[in-house]
Amino acid sequence: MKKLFLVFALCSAMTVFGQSKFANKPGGQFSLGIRSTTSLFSDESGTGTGFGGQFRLRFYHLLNSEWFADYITSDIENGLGNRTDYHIGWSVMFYPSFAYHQNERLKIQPYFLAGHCFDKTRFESNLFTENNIATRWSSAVQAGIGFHLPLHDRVDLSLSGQYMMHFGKQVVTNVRKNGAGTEYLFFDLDEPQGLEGHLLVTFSLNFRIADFWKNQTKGVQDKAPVMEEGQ
Amino acid sequence: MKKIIAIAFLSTAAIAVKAQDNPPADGPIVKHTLAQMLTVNATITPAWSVTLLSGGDSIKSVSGDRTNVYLHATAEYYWDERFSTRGDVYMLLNKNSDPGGVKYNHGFQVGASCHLIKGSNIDPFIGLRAGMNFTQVTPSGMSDGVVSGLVAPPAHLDPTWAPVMGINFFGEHVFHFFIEGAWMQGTYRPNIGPQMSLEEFRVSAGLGLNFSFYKPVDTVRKKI
Repeated sequence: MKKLFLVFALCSAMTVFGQSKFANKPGGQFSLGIRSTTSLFSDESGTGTGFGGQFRLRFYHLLNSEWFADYITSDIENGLGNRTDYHIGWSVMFYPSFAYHQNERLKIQPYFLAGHCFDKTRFESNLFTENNIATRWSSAVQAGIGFHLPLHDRVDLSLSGQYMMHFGKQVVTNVRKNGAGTEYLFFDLDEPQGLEGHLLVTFSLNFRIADFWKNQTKGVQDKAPVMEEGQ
Repeated sequence: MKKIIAIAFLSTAAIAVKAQDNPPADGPIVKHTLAQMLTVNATITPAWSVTLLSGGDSIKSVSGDRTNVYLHATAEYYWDERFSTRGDVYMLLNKNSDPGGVKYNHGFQVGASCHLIKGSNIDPFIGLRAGMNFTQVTPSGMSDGVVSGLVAPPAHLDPTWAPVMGINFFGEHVFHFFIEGAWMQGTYRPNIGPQMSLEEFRVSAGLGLNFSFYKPVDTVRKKI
């Protein structure tokens, strides 16, 4: 806990320190993006593949936010069942000031991210006579690192790795056999609440479509003055 | 078949070279650029089973021993000469009526491409896309050892992704020829019944349209 506090304090200090040098330049930028997520090292399932969308709202040059929704499907026990995760959440992204640059093309922009997520997880057994289903709602926190790779003034690729820790009712999958010896999955819902985590590697493509507080900066004119004929 | 491919390649290469001819010395300045261009393609795409990443023979493939055929439409925008974003839609045309065969395998993907040569009408590229598939198989006989019967697995949405590579040949004004290969990745995970690998190699080729939104300065005329 102390370590988390220290990391947060360090990130905050870096962002405050950087404010004097890069006052509000990319602040207010709004991006839309699509993302592909790979889920690794889950307790109850194998590698999963996901697809989703996100938007980003940048508060100022060293602080961004990411609001996302993911749909991830995974295998359980080599085809005996499936797991489907629905994530909806948000992360705050801190850009270390020593590596900050103003969206220079093909130059990596690293960041730390941390956030919170709500999840619905559905476990299903594939056997048609034993189609057990277990559903769990949980809340999660996530933290990790990542980087943007600006490809254009308006477009960037991002890659991030984060560990997501779910807190909710635990679902334990058991492999059972029916009378004929055919294996199927059975889900144990009576487990107490606990922690369960997985590593998420996310690749995203983002389009910057608006700058929400561009017009609110005093003394900045967006358009050149209109010159009338003869002037 | 090889002759046809060779002729197609040579003719498109000739068009590309012809398009690069220098303009008259007293004519307008010609700017060769792919920047700010929208291309749209629609073609018929064959696909063959590949099981390099999906576990070989341990899982049934969506292509199996047959060639799937898709209607494939693409829209791509070139932000500049190096980089473009694109959206692709696939619709399976030849469904397999055999028990357990593929009934639907439609999908969309969104992604980005990196273009390897600047200032040329020959445009090789590599890219990465991600999206979703809507897949369903026809009813098939299943048994759990005690009970057996004809079971219809429901349709399911499954995430996919694909590395892509290809080449475009930009000819005169509005047309271009393209050929590309996409290595689809994903797994169909129905609520009932066995999983199926969506891994396959899709090859698309044909003529596309391009529309330039390039805004040159007064002395520069758009070429592509």
